[in-house]
Amino acid sequence: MIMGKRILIVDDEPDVSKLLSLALRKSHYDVLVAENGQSALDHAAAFRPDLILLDLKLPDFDGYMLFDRFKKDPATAAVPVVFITAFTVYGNEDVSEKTKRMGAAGCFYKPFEFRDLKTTLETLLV
Amino acid sequence: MPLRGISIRWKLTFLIMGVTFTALAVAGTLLYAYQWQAYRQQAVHELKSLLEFVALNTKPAILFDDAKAARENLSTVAMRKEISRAVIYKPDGSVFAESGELKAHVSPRRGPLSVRSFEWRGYEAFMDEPIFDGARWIGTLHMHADLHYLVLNISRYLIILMIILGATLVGTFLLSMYLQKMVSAPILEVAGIARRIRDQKDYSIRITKKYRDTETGHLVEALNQMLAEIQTNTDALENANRELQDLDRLKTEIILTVSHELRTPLHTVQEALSMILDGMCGDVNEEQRGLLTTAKQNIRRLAALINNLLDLQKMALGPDTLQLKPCDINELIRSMLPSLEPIIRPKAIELKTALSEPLHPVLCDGDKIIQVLFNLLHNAIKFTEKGVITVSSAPKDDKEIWVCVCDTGIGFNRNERANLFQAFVQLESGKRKVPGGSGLGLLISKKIIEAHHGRIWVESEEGKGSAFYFSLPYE
Repeated sequence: MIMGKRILIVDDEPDVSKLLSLALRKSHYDVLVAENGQSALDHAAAFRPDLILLDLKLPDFDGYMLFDRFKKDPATAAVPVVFITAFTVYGNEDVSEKTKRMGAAGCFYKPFEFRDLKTTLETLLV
Repeated sequence: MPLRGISIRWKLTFLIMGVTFTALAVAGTLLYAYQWQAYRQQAVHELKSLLEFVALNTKPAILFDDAKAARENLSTVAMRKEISRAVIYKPDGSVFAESGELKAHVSPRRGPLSVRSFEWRGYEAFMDEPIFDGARWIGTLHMHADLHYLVLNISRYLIILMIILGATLVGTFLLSMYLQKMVSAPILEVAGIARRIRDQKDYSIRITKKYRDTETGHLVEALNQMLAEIQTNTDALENANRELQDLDRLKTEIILTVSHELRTPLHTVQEALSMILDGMCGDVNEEQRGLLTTAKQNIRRLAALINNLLDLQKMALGPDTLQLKPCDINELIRSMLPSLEPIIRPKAIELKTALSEPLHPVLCDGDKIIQVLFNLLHNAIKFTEKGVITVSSAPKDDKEIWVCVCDTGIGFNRNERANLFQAFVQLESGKRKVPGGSGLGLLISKKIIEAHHGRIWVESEEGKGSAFYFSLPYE
């Protein structure tokens, strides 16, 4: 079940995505890393992720905007999106509240425990 | 002073009219008194002459015992309007002759008949003139005069006086209206400009009209100078304020950015440590595990510090950031106690509650209050090795709820207590240094409670323990 589930990581910090993808691969997920919003949108259709891990601050896109694009694209509209961000407040708004209101599947503030993220992924990807 | 709240216009008018009225009234009264005196003297003189004349004329009638002639004589006298009665008494007191009917009520005469007298009683005059034949007293002429008619005469004066007084007052009023307009118009003009400056908050306005070297001119000059100073100061203040606001924005930005920039590397370090510790990269021996665990604990501590800084920054934004809902404080306390279990377990501490039930719900941000409770309890556990920690709640005077976290730990001395709620203050004396904590927990708690319009304070005795209290008002 978990085996072979595809996760798209959108994060511009190479170290973060490197470690995260390493940990996810070791947990037997199929992982693709996109370093910016455009490449995420380009690859999403072909990769057909089961879940998207999305950073809030990207070089070309605002994470919220990218979220909307995913939700509007029929290919990714049903894919759960979990935010991973170092911001607790972004644009004068509490990030966890805003993402919850937008319909995100979860929100993790860095630094978080991989163990906790893994638990969430397992529930979302049954 | 009844004139205090009245404008200058009316003060001037009242003043002028008051002086005029007083002057006229005093002059009128004096004139009246003088006139009355003069009339009366003249009347007395006339009456005395008349009395002597009648007495002389009547003497033959008495001598010849001719009562009829005497009566005619008296009646002639009584025809004068002021004479109301004329009588001739014989020495034995009996009436010899009398003028006809009495004109009005006449008070009876008094005193002996044999003495010449002239007595005033109010407006009435009583006169006795004994009549002698040689040295022999043959009778007395008594006359009664009523001088009320003099009052009538004088009343006419009085009416004229009143008319003059009224006319003068009207004249004075009109004159003073004109005068005060001359006096107060420039002041009103200046006041109008001052009001405009106040309303528009435009301190660049100046009074340009020239009042030359008058009192108003001095006022205008002073006002213009004050305006110039206010303008300078306001500009300086506005600039300073703008700079401060810029700095504050910068501070917020820096805190947000720095915390973001700190969190990301912290995250990678922590994740790397976790992965190794979780055995994802092969077996870890006990020594390695120990070192990695210490490293990870310190990463957590750094993360907590960053979170606290962010919380503090959020609280600085003020009470608007609170999400107020009616909360049962006891429920909040009960809900957060289990989260303390992991840090209590290693210590010989008994955690007790003494909650007053039922508590009226209080409007507060439940998450924030839990954060305060957590901070206080965390501190209590940190500074208590063994003993009892009690959380209690109670209503106070129907106005607020008091919550107390009481421990039997090391306590504080007076100096430590004074600085407890400031940033980055931690107990420092070597033997008591307890690691972990950002030094911001109590400050954040204080900000949260103050944003709820409550108070937070501590009672403590060194070596015996401490009790942290906070209050939450119902309103």
